[in-house]
Amino acid sequence: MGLGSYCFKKSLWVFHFGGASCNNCDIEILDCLTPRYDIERFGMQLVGTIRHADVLLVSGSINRKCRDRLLELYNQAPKPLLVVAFGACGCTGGIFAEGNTFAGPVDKIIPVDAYIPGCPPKPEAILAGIVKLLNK
Amino acid sequence: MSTRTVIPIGPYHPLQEEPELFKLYCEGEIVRDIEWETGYNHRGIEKINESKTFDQVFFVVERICGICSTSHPFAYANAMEELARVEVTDRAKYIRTIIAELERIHSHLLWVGLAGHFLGYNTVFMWAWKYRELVLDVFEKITGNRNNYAMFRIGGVRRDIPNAHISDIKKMLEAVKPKVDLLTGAVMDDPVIHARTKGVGILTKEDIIDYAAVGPTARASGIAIDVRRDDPYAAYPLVDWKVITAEGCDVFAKAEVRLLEMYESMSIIDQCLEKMSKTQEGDIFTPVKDIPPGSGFGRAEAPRGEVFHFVKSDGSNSPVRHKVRAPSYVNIATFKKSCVGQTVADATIILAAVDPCYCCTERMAFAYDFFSGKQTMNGLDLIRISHQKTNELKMKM
Amino acid sequence: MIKELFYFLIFPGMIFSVVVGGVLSWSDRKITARVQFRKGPPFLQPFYDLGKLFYKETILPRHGARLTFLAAPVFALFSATLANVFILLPSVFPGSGFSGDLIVVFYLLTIPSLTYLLGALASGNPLGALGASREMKLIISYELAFILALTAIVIKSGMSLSISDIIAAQQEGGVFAGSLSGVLLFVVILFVTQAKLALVPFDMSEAETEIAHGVFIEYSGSAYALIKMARYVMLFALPALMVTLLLGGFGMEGISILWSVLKLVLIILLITLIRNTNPRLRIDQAMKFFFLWMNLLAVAAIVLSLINI
Repeated sequence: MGLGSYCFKKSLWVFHFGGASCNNCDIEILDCLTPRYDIERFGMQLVGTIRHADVLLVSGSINRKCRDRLLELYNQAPKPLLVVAFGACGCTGGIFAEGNTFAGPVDKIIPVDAYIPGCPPKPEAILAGIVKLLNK
Repeated sequence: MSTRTVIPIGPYHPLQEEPELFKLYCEGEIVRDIEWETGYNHRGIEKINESKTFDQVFFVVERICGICSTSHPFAYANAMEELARVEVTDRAKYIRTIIAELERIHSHLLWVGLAGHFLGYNTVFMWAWKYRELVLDVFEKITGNRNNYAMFRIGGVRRDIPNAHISDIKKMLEAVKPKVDLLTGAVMDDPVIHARTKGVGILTKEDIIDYAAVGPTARASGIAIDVRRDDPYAAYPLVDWKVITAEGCDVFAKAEVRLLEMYESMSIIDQCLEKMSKTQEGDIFTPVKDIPPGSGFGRAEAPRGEVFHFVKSDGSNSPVRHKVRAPSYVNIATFKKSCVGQTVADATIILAAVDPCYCCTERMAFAYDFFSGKQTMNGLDLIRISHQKTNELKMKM
Repeated sequence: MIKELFYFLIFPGMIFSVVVGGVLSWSDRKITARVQFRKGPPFLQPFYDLGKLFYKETILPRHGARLTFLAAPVFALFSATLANVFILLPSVFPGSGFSGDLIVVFYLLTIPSLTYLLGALASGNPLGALGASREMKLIISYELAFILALTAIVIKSGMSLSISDIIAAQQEGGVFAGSLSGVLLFVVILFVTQAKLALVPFDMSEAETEIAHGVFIEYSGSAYALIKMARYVMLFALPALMVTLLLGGFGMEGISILWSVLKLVLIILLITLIRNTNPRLRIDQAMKFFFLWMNLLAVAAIVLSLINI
């Protein structure tokens, strides 16, 4: 493993893409930053622009309107980029998969590196998912 | 128009965890006009509900919005009970009220934290969310989950709170109280917070009435509107509490209302736990055999204001029409009044101050072709899409 | 020539300043985390960040001035490093430096902010442009207070424009921060430092939740790594300037190394605490703060220095 990819794993900056979600996943993601879980221990932080991102975290089902935006954000991101599908809706579409605006789960649109299932995933589950991602 | 710069807030912007696009038309830093574009979060929930049974709808409406995941089932249950003419037992009423008020505490704490985060005051964010965890622990004890509690059913609740747990829950809530005191003190007395929030985003009484705003947004302008008092449901008429209002009309008043409401919620929970311990354990729902044809509506006071659900039944086991109106839908419209004339820096905190919940609010957006001005999608198209989807699902089966 | 290159590139120049700046940045993040009841990042975190950014792809804006966009971080890093060399050399080698290096340092410390501004404007992003306009207003407001404060220091040192003379004057007559005017100057320069480093309450040019990192919004990969490095160096250079001008400079032998480190850490601690106990100001409030209060304090300090209080 080269020095670059070693540093990459030690300092993942996360950009959060909230698709058509119910907000619970988004709240649990923010919860990971807070004192009880403190994700900064692993060098992770949430960033506000896709240009700084190393991880694209996609939560919520994807509808027809945000499908193109997701694709565009994926293309705008500097590579290498990891994509994480987050929550039941991100992984499969969940309860909203039968809605008339649903446009396919995340992995039909962009390649996904890790899945964190749950509705919403507990912060513990998120940390477990991250550890798996790091050891990949 | 051409000299104005468009500053986009969203759709994927760190200010909002949810996708929503506000276009601020600015001259320099001053916002001259604001436009709101929706549709990024549309999931077609009302349509999904028409294919679910009445009991399954609870799990869908719970996922309209994660933070108000009690308010929507609450309003839906009120609607269904009106439709089916069911009386709920006292114990179920108390349990419903406890869950709803716990949700109010956690939601207001969440807002205080986020408001601090938007102001760049990350310490308040971290502290508020640290103490919010204590409330989530109570939730986990009562319902088994941190969010999406699945407690409601037609005629009552799904799980009982055993009398043996009451003293534990009381103890856990007592631990929250000093933390809320600390936070209230930190926010109310900070001079820099005053400088940033006082006199910013003024909504006068007339504006509130014009835009029909609800919830803490209205109460911060001195209008005592609260469904819990105006249209009593569940255990609210049985306990003692008051509607908090403030006269400031600005962002600071909204924070004040939310902070003080937490104390009211705690006292409501205390009284409910006390009264609940005197009722029969396990008597938590009235069996409902079938739903008659007809319609019913239910209202509930979410942390953000009034939630309204309308259900129409034709005697089958699923709703023919289900209509949801969430509080943010009316509150967001007030931005047109409160943001215009302010700077971009203030506009962001004003946007956050009504605690907008975009996933509740989401409506179908009609798409217009930018160049020809032609509408590219209309109601008939929606029905066509829906048929397509049904066919796809049939093919899979 | 070799000696100058060594000064610039290794010690006390680029490598040394980036390393020390990185450590200071870590301590800033760690103190923040402790204030917020968190554990905080590991010790090497700033260097992991740098390594990762160099490893990533750099994206250029399609509709922007690419050369300016790329040159801006380079100039930021070089001028910050050069400023740091001029600040540290008189402490490391007493008597070095030249008359007037204080003015050079003043100009060099302004250049990073200017280059961020130029880079943001070159990127063509509307949020970047908004951040740039805020940065511009902020520069205009704090520079006057900064130059007034430096004037007061020049008066206190007996009208000398050389940093090594200022250090010598403090070694003879006690540190400047010990007098009343010195305390006022300390406050002024502390807030100017806060604004130059773009930390809360003066971080409006990159306010994450308002304009999504503002001036840095389009930077990625190596270009952003250079900006990070420049910011690490600035995080070292500005407290170092405060130590040099007001707290008697850095001693380089024996126990005084410990004292030097303590002085530096004290200032970082103050900066971090200010940043964690305040929300962000609006740009007009920040301008008012500097134009009115800080200038007033600085002028008072000048008057007090003239009558030797």
